[in-house]
Amino acid sequence: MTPTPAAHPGRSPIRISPLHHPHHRPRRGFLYTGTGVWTVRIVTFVALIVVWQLYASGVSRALFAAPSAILESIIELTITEATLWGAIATSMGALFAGFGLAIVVGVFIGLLMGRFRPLELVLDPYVSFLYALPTIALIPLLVIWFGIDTQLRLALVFLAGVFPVIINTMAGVKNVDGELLDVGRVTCASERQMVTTIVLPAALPFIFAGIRVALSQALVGVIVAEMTAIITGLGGMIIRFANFFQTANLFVPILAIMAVSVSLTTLLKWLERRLMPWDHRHLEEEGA
Amino acid sequence: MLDIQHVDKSFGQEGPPVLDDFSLAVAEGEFVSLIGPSGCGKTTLLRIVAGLLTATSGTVAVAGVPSLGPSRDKAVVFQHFNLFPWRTALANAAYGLEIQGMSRAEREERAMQWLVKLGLERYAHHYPGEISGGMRQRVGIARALVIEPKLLLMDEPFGALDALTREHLQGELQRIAESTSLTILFVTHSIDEAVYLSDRVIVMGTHPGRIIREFQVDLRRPRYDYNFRAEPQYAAIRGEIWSLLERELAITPDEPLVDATAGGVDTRS
Ligand SMILES: Nc1ncnc2c1ncn2[C@@H]1O[C@H](COP(=O)(O)OP(=O)(O)O)[C@@H](O)[C@H]1O
Ligand SMILES: [Mg+2]
Repeated sequence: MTPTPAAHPGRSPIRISPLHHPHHRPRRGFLYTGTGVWTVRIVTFVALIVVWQLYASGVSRALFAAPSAILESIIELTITEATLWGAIATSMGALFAGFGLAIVVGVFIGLLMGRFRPLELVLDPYVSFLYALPTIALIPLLVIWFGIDTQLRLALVFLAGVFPVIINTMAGVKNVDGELLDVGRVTCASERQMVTTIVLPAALPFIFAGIRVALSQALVGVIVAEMTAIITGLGGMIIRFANFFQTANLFVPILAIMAVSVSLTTLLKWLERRLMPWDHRHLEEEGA
Repeated sequence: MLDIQHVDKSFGQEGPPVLDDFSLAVAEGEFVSLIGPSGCGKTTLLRIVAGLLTATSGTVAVAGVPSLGPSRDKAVVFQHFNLFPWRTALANAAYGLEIQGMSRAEREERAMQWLVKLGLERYAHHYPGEISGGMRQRVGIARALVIEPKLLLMDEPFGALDALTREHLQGELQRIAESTSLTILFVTHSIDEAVYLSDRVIVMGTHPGRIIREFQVDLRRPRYDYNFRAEPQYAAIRGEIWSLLERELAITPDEPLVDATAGGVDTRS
């Protein structure tokens, strides 16, 4: 008889539950329970704010902003005057446009370089050197080429993002298991089918690693460009507040950048999980 | 069905011959096993037949047509399953039909039929990482058979499985072979497996890889229905193959061969 899977109860699919993860042994004590952790975090946070408030009341407003003053600034910039949203939109517009372009172009070039050795041999030195160069060093040059314009930010974000994507995509493409490629070959897959059904899915974890690096680089690129060349967006806000010693206001764009960065990273993680549901590292990470 | 004529193979310009004047004809519906010490060129031969490698000289023809590369009348089952981890069992099984451009509904229906035949319907939507090795190789078999090949090439397909799972799959493979006119070329490390499954067992020698002897196995089919190991012919063939291989291994004792009388465990990875 054909053995049915039910005949192997011990062989039912294994999902690694975070709770059963070997590195996640339960420890004793209130501190290590879910509520315990959050209680400790909230208590220390409140203590920090209180100490900060008490200390700041004794020094100059220009040097050290009290939490209460920062709160006022937040309300002012997000609700009363609401200038923060425009700044976020400006910065994000440049980021998404340049970053999106960097991903598309980077994956494409990385794919070609990984699949065709001659192209890799020709392009590799340029890619490696430009990857090694901190892109912000190019700002003055880009100002000369593009002028003080939005294109400058776009170019900077693109240059900051494209090389990590190229390098990681290429590594992923070259790392594809040859035995999986054999499956495509014996199935008579065309080059296009090889790429779409085997190479790209296999390289996806690498591509995402590249995108993660590119995102942080691109964010640095946008903010620095806005602080140094075209005084606009969140970076511009920081510079303007700093020039007028509006220390409390200064915290608002900084917190906004933090929030944006965390949101984008979270979004990327979510996307990764959606696109790679087979990848069990995610399940393990959840427990870590 | 399969006609291999005077195939020689060496890797690189000055490489030693891996295969030397290898000729083998396999009839339609025949089940032929290749057995030989590790490194004797079994995988190389299978890859040449599959079209993944080209012979240095000699020809391979399938159904009278010279075989110059991969083609749709051949399918391969791999030792390490080679499933796509990002595809579910069903999508893995349907892969060949997808490459041929068949619509999703139709290819999934056909793939599902094979999964059902192999007892996997409950796991159709699981990823390879979520199922056992035996189930993975069933998916590998479904993926090969769904394109309805004439020739099935199997390279130690059960070598990475535990003894019990191995025996199950051997039975299933026999059932499939009987219900179709499939021609099968099967590489194995296990004498027991070769005798159990095959109409003919080809014993290969090493350095260079060549045929040293072949055995016709006339044990009554189906063989999963009775204790074929109790038959005198089984013991006789097994003994002869064993002593032939022992002689080969005495020349190149790099890796112990498995005498898998009781479906022994192949310790190779
Ligand atoms: N791509 C290759 N390049 C060079 N030598 C190879 C290659 N593939 C296999 N060989 C050599 O060919 C011989 C036969 O290998 P293989 O066909 O894998 O043997 P088997 O499958 O019988 O164990 C071995 O000596 C191996 O080292
Ligand atoms: Mg081999």
